[in-house]
Amino acid sequence: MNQFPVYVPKLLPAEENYLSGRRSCQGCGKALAARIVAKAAGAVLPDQLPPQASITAQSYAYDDLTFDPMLETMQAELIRASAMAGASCRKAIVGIDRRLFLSGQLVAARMFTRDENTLYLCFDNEPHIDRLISAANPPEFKLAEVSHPVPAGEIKRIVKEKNIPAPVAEGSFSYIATACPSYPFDLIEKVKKGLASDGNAFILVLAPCPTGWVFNPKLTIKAGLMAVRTGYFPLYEIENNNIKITQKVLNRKPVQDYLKMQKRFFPFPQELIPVVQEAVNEGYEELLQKAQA
Amino acid sequence: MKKTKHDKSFVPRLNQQIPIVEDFLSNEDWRFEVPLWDTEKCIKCGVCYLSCPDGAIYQNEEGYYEADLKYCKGCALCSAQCWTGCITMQEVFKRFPWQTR
Repeated sequence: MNQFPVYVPKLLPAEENYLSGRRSCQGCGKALAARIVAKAAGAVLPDQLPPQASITAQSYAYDDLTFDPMLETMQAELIRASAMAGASCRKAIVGIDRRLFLSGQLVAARMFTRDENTLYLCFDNEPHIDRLISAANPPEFKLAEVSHPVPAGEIKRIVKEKNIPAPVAEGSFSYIATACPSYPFDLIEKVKKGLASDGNAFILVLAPCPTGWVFNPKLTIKAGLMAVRTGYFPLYEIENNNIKITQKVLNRKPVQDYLKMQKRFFPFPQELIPVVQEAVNEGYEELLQKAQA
Repeated sequence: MKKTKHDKSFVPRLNQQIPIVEDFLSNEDWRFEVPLWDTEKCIKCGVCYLSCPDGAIYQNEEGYYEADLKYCKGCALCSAQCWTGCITMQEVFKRFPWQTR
C-alpha cells in the first residue's frame, strides 16, 4: 500500500494544527471541517508572532459581541507582526457560524465596507431550516405540542436561502465557493484557491450537526454526501464571474432520503415533501443554466 | 506524534465506573465506546485519520493507526468510514436505556 500515490498520509501534511478538546460534540461536522481547513492552511506563523495570533482552529464559542473586537485585534496583530518579521504574512482565515453571520450585522458590514485581505469561512449547520419545521412565531398557550408547519408558499423561499447569501454573491469577492467536509480534498483545494486569490474570499461550508439535526453521530459524513447527491447542497465555485460545478451529480436521489435521515423532520408533514423537491430541482436547474452560460 | 498516559496498558472493561475528570482537556468521561483496530485487515490507507473530527487518531511507528484515548469521544465515525471493516467499536461503559441515541 505504501507504493500507491493515493494514500492519505502522502497527500496530507502530518502536522496537526487543530486543538482537540471539549468544545465540540461527538462527531461534529463543524469541527471536522475546521480541522481539515487547518490542515490545508498549514502552520502560519513565524516565531515572532504573539501567542494570540497563533490560534489556528479555535473558532467556537464566540458571541456576536465578542467577535468583532477579537477580529480587530487579531488582524491588527497579524499586520504588525508581519511588519516586524519583515516577511509577508499569509492571508488570515476567519470562521463564522451561520447564525452569527445572519444575525450579526457587524460581520456583514465589515465584509462589505472594508477591503481586508481575508478568507471568510461560513460554517452552515442550517439554523434557518428550523423555520421550515415549525413557524417562527411562538404558538399560543397550550398549543406548544401541536406542530405548526410553514405554508407551502414560503417553503421555496426558505429552502433557497441555503445557497450563498445574495449580498455576498453580488458583492466584490474575488473567490466564492461552497464546500463540504465529506469531500475533504475538494475542500482543501478550495481553501488553497481562496488563499491564493487577491482580495476577500468566501467559502460556505456545510457542517452536519448530529445534536441539532438529531441523527447518529457516525453518520455525519454520510449526511454531507446525501446533501450533495440529492442536489440539495451543490458544490460549485465562482471565479471571475464564471460558475463552475466541481461535483457533478448525474442521477440525483430524491430529497426524501435526505430528510428521513434527520429526526428533526419528524413533525414535518409528508404532503409538503414534493414542494421541497420542486424547490431543490428549480435551484439546481438554475445553477446548471448559469454554469453553461 | 502524541504521547498519552494510556498507551501502555488499556484493557476495556464493562461496568467500569465513569471517571471523575480533573484534566479538562480530556474526553474520558464522554464516551461509551472505543475503536479497536484489527491489524490483519488494516491496509494503512488512513481514511480513519482523515475522518476523525477531534484529531485523536495518530500513526504508529509500524504504520498502523491508533486512537489517542485522551481525546477520543467515541463517535464511531472512523468505524463507519473504514471500508475494509477493520475497526470495531468496543463498549467500555455500560449504557443505560435512556442513553441510547
